[in-house]
Amino acid sequence: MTSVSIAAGPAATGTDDRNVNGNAIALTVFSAVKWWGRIELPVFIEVLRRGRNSLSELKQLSFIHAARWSLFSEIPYNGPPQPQRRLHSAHLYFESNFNGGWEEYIDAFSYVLRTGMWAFWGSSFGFPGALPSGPFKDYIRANEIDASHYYAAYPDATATMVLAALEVEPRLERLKWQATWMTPTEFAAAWRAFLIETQPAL
Amino acid sequence: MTSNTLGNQYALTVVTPILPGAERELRTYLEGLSPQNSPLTRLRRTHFGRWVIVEDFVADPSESDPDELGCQYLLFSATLDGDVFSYLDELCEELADEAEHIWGVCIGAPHPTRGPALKAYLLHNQIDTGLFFSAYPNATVTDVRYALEARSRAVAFALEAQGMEPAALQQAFREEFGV
Repeated sequence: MTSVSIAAGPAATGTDDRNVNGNAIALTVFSAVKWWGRIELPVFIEVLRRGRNSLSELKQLSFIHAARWSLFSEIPYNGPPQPQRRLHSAHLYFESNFNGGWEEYIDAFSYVLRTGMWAFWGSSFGFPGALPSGPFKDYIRANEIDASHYYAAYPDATATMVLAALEVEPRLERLKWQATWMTPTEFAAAWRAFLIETQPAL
Repeated sequence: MTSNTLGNQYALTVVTPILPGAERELRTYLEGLSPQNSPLTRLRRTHFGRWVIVEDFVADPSESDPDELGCQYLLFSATLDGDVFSYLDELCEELADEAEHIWGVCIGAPHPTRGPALKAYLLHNQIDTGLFFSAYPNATVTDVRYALEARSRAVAFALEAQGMEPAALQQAFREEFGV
């Protein structure tokens, strides 16, 4: 599986500073959904949830820590003075926590998830299609809302770094155990094996 | 259509209506919070969190009858470890001071803005997630931080240990990693 990764720092994020915390970037997007999206989106999402490898395309986008989609057609009511509204449309909420640059993120999203993009946003009013990515970027910018405050627990780590670290750590634990009972020669061999096994993740 | 949970992680999304007239004060407060010293650092199960003020829906010209919110809303979202109920217990105690400024200016919020009443308010205003994706759904914040530290130390040791003889390598490794 080919993975798409993005290397960029906060200076190259291409978004409002308040959407940025270290290397982590917040994307928050709302869009109104056409009537048939109330049927299509739940079916599509259910298929994705039940499919064993259905999120593999998202995993290819190795710069995403976490993302979510929510479809809602009513807003919880809390009494006056909150206006009690009956929404005409369902609305799609999308958020992402990613690293890299905003433009590159949308580009990669468009190219890697070409079919999925239509399934997610095809029913949204104004969706211009995923490709070419220029009009799609304009669409996302128009529907994006900047965060007032954004927090990331490990802001300096990219998603790739986290995945690499989670791969290295158990192997390092095993090596620590081996260091307590192996002879120096055996340990040197185990150390070399550790380096070879974990080289892509170091 | 709900999927708030994936592996060990939970996607919490809460949308609350802001009292008319309090929007600017809330925005100023939230924008004044330091990302480096965020109140969410005290909730150690939080991977990512955000507060967003939603002024209104964006209307597309192709919509014949676009929806209007009628008042501004505060969106809070968090990607967290474990179950949401104990997380909200922690939030409603640990963030009690901040909650007064944040949800205390929202319609229907309890006063004082803390404890079980705040928890019930936040749960009432929760929007369920349809699809949740996490690149490492079984790792907790503690796991991730520990692993990042371990990887960093392994990289540093690998550079330092180049060319060491086996006995010196093992001794240096044991000293470096405390075994």
